[in-house]
Amino acid sequence: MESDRGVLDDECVRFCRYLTGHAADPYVSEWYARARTARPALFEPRAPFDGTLLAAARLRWLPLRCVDMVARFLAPGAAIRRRLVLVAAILENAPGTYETFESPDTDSPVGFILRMLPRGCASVGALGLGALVIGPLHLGRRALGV
Amino acid sequence: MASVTVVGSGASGVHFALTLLRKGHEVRMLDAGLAGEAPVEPDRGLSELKRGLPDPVEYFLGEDLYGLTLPGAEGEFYGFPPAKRFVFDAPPGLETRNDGFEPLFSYARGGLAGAWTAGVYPFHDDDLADFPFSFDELEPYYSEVAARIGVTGEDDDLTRFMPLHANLLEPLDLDPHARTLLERYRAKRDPINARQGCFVGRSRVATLPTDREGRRGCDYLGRCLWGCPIDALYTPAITLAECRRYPSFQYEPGVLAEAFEFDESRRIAAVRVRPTGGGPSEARPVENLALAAGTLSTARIFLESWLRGMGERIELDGLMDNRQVLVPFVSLSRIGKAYEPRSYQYHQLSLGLETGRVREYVHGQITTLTTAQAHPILQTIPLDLKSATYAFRNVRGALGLVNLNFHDQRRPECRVGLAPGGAEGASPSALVGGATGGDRAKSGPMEIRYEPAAGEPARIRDAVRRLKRVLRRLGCLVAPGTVHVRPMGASVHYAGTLPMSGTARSRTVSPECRSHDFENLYVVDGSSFPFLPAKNITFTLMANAVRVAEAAF
Repeated sequence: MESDRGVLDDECVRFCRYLTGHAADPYVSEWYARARTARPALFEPRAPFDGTLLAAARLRWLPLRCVDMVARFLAPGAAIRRRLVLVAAILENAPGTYETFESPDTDSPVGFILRMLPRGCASVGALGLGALVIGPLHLGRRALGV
Repeated sequence: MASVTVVGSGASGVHFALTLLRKGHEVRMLDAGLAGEAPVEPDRGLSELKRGLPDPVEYFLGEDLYGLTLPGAEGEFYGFPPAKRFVFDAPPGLETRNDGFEPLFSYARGGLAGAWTAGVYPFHDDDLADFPFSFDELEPYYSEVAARIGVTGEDDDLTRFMPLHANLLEPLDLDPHARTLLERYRAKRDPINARQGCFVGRSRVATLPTDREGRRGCDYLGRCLWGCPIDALYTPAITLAECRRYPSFQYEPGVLAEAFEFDESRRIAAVRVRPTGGGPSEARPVENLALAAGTLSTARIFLESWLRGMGERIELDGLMDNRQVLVPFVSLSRIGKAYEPRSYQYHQLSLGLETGRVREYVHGQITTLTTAQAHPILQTIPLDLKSATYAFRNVRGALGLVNLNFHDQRRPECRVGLAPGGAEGASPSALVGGATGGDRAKSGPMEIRYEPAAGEPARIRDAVRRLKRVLRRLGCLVAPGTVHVRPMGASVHYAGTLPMSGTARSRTVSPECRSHDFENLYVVDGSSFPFLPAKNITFTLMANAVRVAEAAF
């Protein structure tokens, strides 16, 4: 159980840093762990593809972004997306992080577009890279039965 | 024995009861009466709650994460807050079988309007064409209800769709986004009116702008969606509390009305109730019975009573509901602008789209989504969640939602019935065992069938196309693929199963909402409406209930 909690804490820290740029505080981690009891279905992989995506997401920041983007379009109900949405839901209501979801950092539509352009390009790149890597990885795992 | 027994404490039931109490009648109210918890920190704004509550995640998402919206939530743009969960909680044993309809029930104290968005829109003469009275005859009751609950609004371009009545209060303060939209509409009114047949104005809402008669005026805390903590936003629970101050009022919560019992002359003698927590049913003697349980629950009681008393399994046709279509938009000039969390959160503006027939106009409510939860929207943005979060924080103050409502009319293919129950195959008489009451074999679940009217897709397409043009003129963009047609049942404006009729046909009621089948039965909720305009019906439910109480007792 302790190791389970450790895995959850690591996952929460990784997801928080991905979404906000900061590590999770204990309050957020505690809620992420409580979610396993409150909504166990969130943590149950529904398909073998779920396992592939989760395994890739736990590697590093770049694979996580690729997996997130691939799942957004190919498997929006995948475990990785559900867990990321859960973390986002906790963060937007937590005292230390709710402002991340509220405060604009640009003051004009043009400024917004200029700032979004590189992010959009990165997202498209992540989608392409993710599809290239995760597709064969998934097929390989299925072929090997792991 | 009370002279009138009312089933249900929703918008219709409480105003019916209050009118009778003021006239000196003794009233008993039977109610499931599930209650929510007292509001937390009633003077704090939403952001202050996130900063100051000991456990804000529990408040906003719920201990069991009830408020979490996960991918696959069918295009809804905001989740239901845990604080209002009690409104849709149901005791066991009330299952339904649904075909083309996703019903919502409430067993809460105050009924479904415990979770309404406070829109009050009087019907005009065209809306009332199938009713046995005109707007002029209903206007005094609209005015009376407006005085009771507090209704804001003004004489503007929407008056063509919603006639004026007395006791209108000054409108609430607009938030910056809504103000921008209204100013743009006023600058481009002529082409929008002429080319799109679209008219925009202030919403009429049952929210107090200033303190009045012991209720506080809106403090703009931004907590509307989460349950107004100061009762500035009206709910029927407020009127129920007023009823309970009368010594001649007897409130019995914790019971579900199952069926009424009647003699051979079809005079109702008692209503059978069972505890919400389970247990055997008991009879409550009645002199006059008023069903105000909401259209579907009233139908269930009527069908069950008919089955038990007459051994006949019948259906009620003519079920109506407003189709709703959600159209989210972004106001381009507001991108990058901070939003104001301390503002009124429900619709501040409304619109009407004219169609060929006056009473078939399309009604829209414009909400500037600010303090709704972000995560249901984040997951719909076609980006990874990191980029989506960044995009969202910069467009949050620019987001809005139009909720289009379409009219409905009674059609025979939209029906409510009871499935055969546990004693499947037994004859109806074996099931019911006579008309004198007592616990008997139960019927099965309620069956609800709904088929959309022919031509509905074309009507929706036309309205959405015109709305998008209007929004473009207002400087707003509708992202492709984001328009969501809600399932039937989602609007919770159910009506039509026991309609008012000037002729004494079975399964209809008189203009005073007295049953043509049972002499001392009154149906005072939406069941009695013979037509459903595109407007929210709650205000007319309340006005009609007052009218019936005045006319029939």
